[in-house]
Amino acid sequence: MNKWKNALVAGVFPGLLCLGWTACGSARAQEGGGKKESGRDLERQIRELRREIQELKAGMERGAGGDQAAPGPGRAAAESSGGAGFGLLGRLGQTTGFSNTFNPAIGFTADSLFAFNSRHDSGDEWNKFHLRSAELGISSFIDPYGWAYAVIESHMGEHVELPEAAGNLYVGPDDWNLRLKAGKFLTDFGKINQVHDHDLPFTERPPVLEDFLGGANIGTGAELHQWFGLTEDIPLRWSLGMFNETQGHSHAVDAVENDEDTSRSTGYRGFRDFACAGRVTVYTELSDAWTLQVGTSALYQGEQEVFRETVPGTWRGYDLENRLTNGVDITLKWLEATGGSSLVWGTEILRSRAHYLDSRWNPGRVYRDHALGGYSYLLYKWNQHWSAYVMYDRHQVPGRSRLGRADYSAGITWDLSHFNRLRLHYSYRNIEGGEDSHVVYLQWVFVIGTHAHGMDW
Amino acid sequence: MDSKKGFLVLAFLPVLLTAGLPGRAYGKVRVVATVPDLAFLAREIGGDRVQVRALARGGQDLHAVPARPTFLLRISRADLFLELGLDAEHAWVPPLIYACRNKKVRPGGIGFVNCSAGIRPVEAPRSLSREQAGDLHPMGNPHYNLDPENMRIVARNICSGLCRVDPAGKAFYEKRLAALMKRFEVKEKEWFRMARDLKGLAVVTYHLSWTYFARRFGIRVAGTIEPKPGIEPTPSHLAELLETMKREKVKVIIREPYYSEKIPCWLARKTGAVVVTLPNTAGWNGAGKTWFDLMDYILKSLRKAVGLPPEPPKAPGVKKAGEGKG
Repeated sequence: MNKWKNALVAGVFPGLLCLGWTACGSARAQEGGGKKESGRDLERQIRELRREIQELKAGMERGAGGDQAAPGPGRAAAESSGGAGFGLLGRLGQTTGFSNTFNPAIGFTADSLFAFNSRHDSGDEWNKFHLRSAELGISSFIDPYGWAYAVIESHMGEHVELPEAAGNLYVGPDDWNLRLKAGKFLTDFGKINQVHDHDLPFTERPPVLEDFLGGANIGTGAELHQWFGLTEDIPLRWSLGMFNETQGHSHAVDAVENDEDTSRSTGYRGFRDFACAGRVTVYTELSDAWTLQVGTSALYQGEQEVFRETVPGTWRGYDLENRLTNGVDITLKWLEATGGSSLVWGTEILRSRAHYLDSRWNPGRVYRDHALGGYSYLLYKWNQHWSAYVMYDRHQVPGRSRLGRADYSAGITWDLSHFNRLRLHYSYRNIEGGEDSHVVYLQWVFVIGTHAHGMDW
Repeated sequence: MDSKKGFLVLAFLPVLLTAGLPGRAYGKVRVVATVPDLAFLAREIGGDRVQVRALARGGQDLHAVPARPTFLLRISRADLFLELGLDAEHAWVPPLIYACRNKKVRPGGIGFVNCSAGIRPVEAPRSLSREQAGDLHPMGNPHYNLDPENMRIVARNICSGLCRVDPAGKAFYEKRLAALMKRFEVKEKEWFRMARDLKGLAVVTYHLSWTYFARRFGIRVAGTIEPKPGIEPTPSHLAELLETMKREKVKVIIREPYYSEKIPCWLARKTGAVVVTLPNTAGWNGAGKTWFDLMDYILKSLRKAVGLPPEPPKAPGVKKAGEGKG
């Protein structure tokens, strides 16, 4: 215990001397009446510091009795004058040969739910509990120039995959705000493509995104990002990416698997040609309370082999000549003066145009496939813990573009804390040519460890 | 391929058009503060030499300020960045500062001011486990801005920051700091006079944001509605709190404007206590614009809540503090 006392004395008294010295220096710098006030302030500070030293000494003497065996950061907190994790031991130097100081930040997120579907022929996935996803995320700075992250994930408690592993590097002069992202990651398309399913404000990713992009769209390649001010208060952000391939990544309960990949029903994956994605978005504060964001995105996918569902349940291979998916999104937010409650209205409209060659079955024949769709939602948060939403989604299913689908959803969310969330979600599904269904989810998401969100724009 | 080329050109067009545009120069030191309290002090010290903007709004929950993209622009153009520190803004400030690429205002840069430097934090957690709280602050309770002594330290920190980024204005800033300190002295006398009748008053607060204030003015925090910071109350915790309130004869429940009124009002009905809505940062509607106004408002509201006149009768010869700039 003497060691601690010595360390304290060695640390605090020189500090006090320095303060005194600074005090003398500053006091000299003051002029006239300023000197007196400044002197009084410093005297007060010195008195406070003396009182703190007495408190610390008393605390240490108490600690020498029963608290000696208290391990880990708790001990550090007790020792520290600045809080947990910054104890005297840490300041005095390395104390272990197995330091974990430079380990990346690690977080684990589990998204589990009970899924109910009113249709008797809906499949095995319904009316049961699921561990929809278990996600391990790690992130850290690489060096002063960049940072990286990776996500290892298991979907439905079965497949373990690596949906994302990417590095970010700032390039060019600092004031260009130019960032290069490379690896495998969620492409910058639309407003919510980069949001992980468990972080979405609703349980299900809007069905239009499931059908047009295969869920969240992931690419292996590189993407350039930049933001700057159009005016003093209007930032603009753009990005442009090139990918070997982009593929759908879905956490939908009824996602159909095929041989090539783990989790998607519409077949928009396994692309062998370059694909490009781009986005431009502008954000503005309409007032202190209201903000508006408008964005437009495009995703170009080149030649590839895809599977189209010609009639429900029947899949057939085609050569896709090209596909261009465009999107427009608008998000209007209102935030009450103290931030206690908020209202968000978000809408995204997508259009998909694809040309297929049926070289195997009808050589020379070209199919054009146009589909249009979108979703719109209203989310009201009435305090830090409770929020509710309604969402409407309507779209033509690509590959079966004469068929339409409409979903009406509502849900209520209870955030027990920032790391613990319960949600009840209801959807009414109306698919042309199929039987209507009612879907209910009871979802629980929790996070342990670090959990960071990027800028929402 | 044509559509591909067209797409590339379209995507790069905004960059080609605007990447070379220079930032605007104002000839003033551009200060960005995370909260209005710091912005107020910066304005008082910087006077006409500075242009100050606060990111969070008055009375907003410090731990849950939505990071707007417009904040990026403000920080990227700032000469001086002021943060409360002690992890008060940990959920939204670090990613903003990193994304801004403004070397001046990054930690360690000439224009970065951690205003908590020199402040003695209280309530540092005994262990770094989320079992301890939802809002866990490893360095200690970050709501130090409701203690005038702490704000004097903050004012000095801000003055040092201004002198660093604008050495030509050093004498100007120091003169204004000295004047501000005088105002502090006068106002503090006034506040302690107002708080004299509140000494020993037992209060219940919603969040653990009143510790520094209570210590300074001799008020006793008997309990909090949140069982742990950032965690919604449970029925068993409320039952315990109810017992504590009755036992400790708690007369006042302090609720920040962003918390629901429901539970404080329920507790008030059960115990006969009074619910007072008090912001823990300056600039909230009704509490005036400045940090001095905020302190006046808090003390007056507490006096009113316990049935005292908003201001105590003046002792002969005591002048009211002037509100004009020093």
